[in-house]
Amino acid sequence: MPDEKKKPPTPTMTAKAEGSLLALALDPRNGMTFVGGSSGAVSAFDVNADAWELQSQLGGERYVSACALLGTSSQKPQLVVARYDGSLAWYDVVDGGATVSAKPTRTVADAHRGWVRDLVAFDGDRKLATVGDDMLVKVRDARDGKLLVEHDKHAKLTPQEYISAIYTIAASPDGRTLASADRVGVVVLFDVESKKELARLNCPELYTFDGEKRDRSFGGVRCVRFSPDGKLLAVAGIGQITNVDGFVGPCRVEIFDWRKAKRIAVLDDDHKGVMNDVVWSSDGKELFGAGGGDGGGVLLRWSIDPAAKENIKPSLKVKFNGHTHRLAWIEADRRLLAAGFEGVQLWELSSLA
Amino acid sequence: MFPFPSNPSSFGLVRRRGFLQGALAGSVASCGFAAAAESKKSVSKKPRQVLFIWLGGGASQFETWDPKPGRPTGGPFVPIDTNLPGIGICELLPKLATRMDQLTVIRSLSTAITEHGVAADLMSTGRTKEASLVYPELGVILAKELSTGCSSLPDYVSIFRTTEGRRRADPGFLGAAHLPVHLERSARPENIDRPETLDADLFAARADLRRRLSEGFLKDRAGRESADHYESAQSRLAGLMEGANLFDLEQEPAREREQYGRTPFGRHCLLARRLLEAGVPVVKVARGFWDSHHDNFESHRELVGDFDNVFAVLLDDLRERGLLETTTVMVLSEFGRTPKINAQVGRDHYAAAWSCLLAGAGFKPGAVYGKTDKDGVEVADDPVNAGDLAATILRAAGIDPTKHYQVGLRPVPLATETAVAVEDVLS
Repeated sequence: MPDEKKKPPTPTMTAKAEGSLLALALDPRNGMTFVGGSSGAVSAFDVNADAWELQSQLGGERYVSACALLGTSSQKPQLVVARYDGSLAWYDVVDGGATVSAKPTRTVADAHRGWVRDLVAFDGDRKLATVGDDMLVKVRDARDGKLLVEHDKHAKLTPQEYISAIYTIAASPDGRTLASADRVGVVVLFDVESKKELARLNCPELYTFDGEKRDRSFGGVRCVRFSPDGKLLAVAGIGQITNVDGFVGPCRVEIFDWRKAKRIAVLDDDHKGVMNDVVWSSDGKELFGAGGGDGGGVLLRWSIDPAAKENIKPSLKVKFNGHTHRLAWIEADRRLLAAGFEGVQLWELSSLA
Repeated sequence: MFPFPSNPSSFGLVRRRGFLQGALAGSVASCGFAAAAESKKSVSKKPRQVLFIWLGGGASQFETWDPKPGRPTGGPFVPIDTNLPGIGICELLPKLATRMDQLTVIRSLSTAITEHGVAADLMSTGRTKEASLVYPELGVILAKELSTGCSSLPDYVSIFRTTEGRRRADPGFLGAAHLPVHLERSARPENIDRPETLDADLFAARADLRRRLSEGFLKDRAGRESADHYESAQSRLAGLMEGANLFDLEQEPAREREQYGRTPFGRHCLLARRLLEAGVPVVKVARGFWDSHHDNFESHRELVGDFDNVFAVLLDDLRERGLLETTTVMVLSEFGRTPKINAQVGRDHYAAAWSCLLAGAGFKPGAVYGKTDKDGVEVADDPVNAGDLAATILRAAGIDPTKHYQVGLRPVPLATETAVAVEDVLS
């Protein structure tokens, strides 16, 4: 008898969506989840439901790049939606978190000049930080949208004088520090109160410029995330690319003791792809990353030991069709929710181990 | 001494005259270039020149000339208004949007071939490849046709620095004598400096000796063709050596260099302008590499932004120097990119419906020709194939595409027999 081939792992649940999903916000209280992306629409679904059905909430012509839930511990949560038209819009979340108001309760049309790339709510959801293609980091009052602080500490042009971009922003758990990162692999740590730059981390391996073969750049830091204790910063993207047609380089995450501006570990894998998002387990001992590229979609888990050697290989690797842009970690039952190309997927770690 | 002023561009047409007078030692007084250099008033008598810009790898029509806003194929960018009423182009081209009335766009290319090499051959020659006959690249034909035959400068200079996608222009059946000067390792021809150990007088004496020995060898011998080619090559080499400053962009005022920017494409386009101004009939600038199978939008944000800035400056510069009205400009790729945005946020190869840009001499400024359907999947109106496009470019450059070369016993027209020039884009 021929050997029965081991079937590749499959997600526990999936739901289809048009285009690529670039935005994901999960309410940890009830599992209600909002997603948005290239179709311009925002949809909602219950991650705990037996069957998923994406319910369209909002339309729109421009890409939805990021969204965040505010006040999930209160009775009046809101969803903030960022788009490529430079706008931010606030919507009331109603019906127990299942839907949002048809019209925004507040809009900042020119939150950034150019695309809004990312946003994060922090300081107990009292503040909102965004990054955009005007190469600015902006902090707003999360309730009224008023601009509180902004900085322009990222270079507008790459060293080769092409246009750059800030792709990602994260806030420390204590709400004091913002980390933003750009196309050329520079991470800026910024103190929100003192308005001072605290540290600058350089990750040149995450930026490829091929001046000999193609005179083009590729890569950049696609995601930064603080560890739960705020001491470490994960900086994710793709390592040096051999073929700048695409994501043809190794998945790569660098872990920094950011206060010392010291890289303590490199988490890499030979899978050819970019890590678009990473999430920490609540004890800070695991880091999950997801993305896609030449090798297809991938989900990786690394065990984090601050005393570990420089290079750490993943303890779990799942390959699948697709390309993940956003990841959420559901601690209670160790599930990962991945949003990306043509839909969402739910992965249960217990079924993968 | 080399006759160039140290800052040639500040001399405008006088600079070229200075070059020609010095480099050619008065021997070309009756040549077209010299005559054309006399006065801006005689501009209509200037010989045509061609600037050929090659976007290697395949630029996306959606992120340039044929945006499809609000469609699943449209991508994240939006169209912006141009100075042509009712015509929008991608927001990545803000500077060219204000110069759209000087540009000519074909939105209905349909060329079928989606493999890089074969498609590049097709678009570079206007023909599908034949086993029995190698056709010359379009730039080679243009250079041959536009050459005055009396310049010491090359007829065709091709600048392509990146190694990927580099394709040396094939002279095909026209032979190696029509090869362009390829600038590949640097934007300056290699080995054109006189050795330091050789003073100018000794160098000239050696050249004279070589020439006299050649003449002696050829005396009373039949079949001079190879020797003539050798002489011609020597002459071109001498011209390059004398024109070495042409390739030195530091000779250009800082303001000019700043406007073109510091990217390789900017520097190469500035060099192209210097070469055109000096009278090189055909200059090609290749810019790699647009093959954005993954992360298409980030790539095009970088590449189109650079193209917009550089090409707008180049257009203005050519116009202000009186060169645009005699220079036929074409911006081609081997194909466009797919309407479908793939899982890796990329677009793949697509040749069924795509766009190209034309400008300058022979083209109708402000013309936007052809139309694709709402998703950019198919050509809706006025399809143009590679042969048609080649015939159109030849016509714009003042060359009859039905003209024949005699290859052995076979008459070969410059453009393929079935090609029909697009009259609507010709001035």
